[in-house]
Amino acid sequence: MGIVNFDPNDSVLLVDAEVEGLIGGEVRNLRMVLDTGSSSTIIPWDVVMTLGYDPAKSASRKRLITGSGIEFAPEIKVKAFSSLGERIENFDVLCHDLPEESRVDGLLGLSFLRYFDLSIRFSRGEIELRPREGGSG
Amino acid sequence: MGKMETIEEMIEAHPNEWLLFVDYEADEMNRPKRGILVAHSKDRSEIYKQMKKYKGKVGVRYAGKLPKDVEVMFLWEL
Repeated sequence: MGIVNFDPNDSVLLVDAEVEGLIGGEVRNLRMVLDTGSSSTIIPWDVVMTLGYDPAKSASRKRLITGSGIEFAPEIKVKAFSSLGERIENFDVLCHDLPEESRVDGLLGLSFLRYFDLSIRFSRGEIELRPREGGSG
Repeated sequence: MGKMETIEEMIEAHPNEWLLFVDYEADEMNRPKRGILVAHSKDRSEIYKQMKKYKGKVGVRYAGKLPKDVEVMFLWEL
C-alpha cells in the first residue's frame, strides 16, 4: 500500500511493475500504462519468454481490439506480478507487444486493479492503491 | 559489466533511448532506483533481444516521454 506521484499533464499514467519468472530470482521490471479501459494486464512476448514461459503453448487466447483491428493474444499465468507496492501470485497476463511508439512495455489493467481500491487524484498528481475495504477481492 | 548508477543518471545520459539495466534495486512501490546499465538503443526490439542474455533482476525503461502531440488510445479485451 502506498502512493506514487505522476504528472497530471502527461498523456498517460505511468507505473512500474515486476513480473516473476518460473525460476526463482528471475524478475523483469517494466514500465506500464495504468489503463482502467483495459480488461487485462498485458506484457510483451519477448519479456515473457525470457522469464521461462512459453506463450505459444497456451491453450487460452483472448480477443483484443487494437488500432489495426482484432488480434488474438495468448493468456498465461505468471508466478507473481507486482505493481504500486502490491503483489499477486499466480496472476493471468496477456502476451502482446504494444507499438514501440507507445514508449511503454505493457498495460496495467482491471485484472490487477480490481483486487484493490484505486484512487487517482489529479489535483495532487497521486495514485494510491490499497487493500479493498472489507478485505474481499 | 558497468557500474551501479541511478536510473535518473541513465536517463540523463541516454535521452529518448530504451535502456536495459540489471541487478537493480527497487523501492517498495516497485520503482527501480539504481542498477547497472548494460544496453541502450533507439530500437526497443534490440533491447528485448539483449534482455535474453541476462539473468536475475532485469529492467527496461524508455528515457523520455510521449510526444505532447500524440494522442493515445490503448486496446482492450473483448
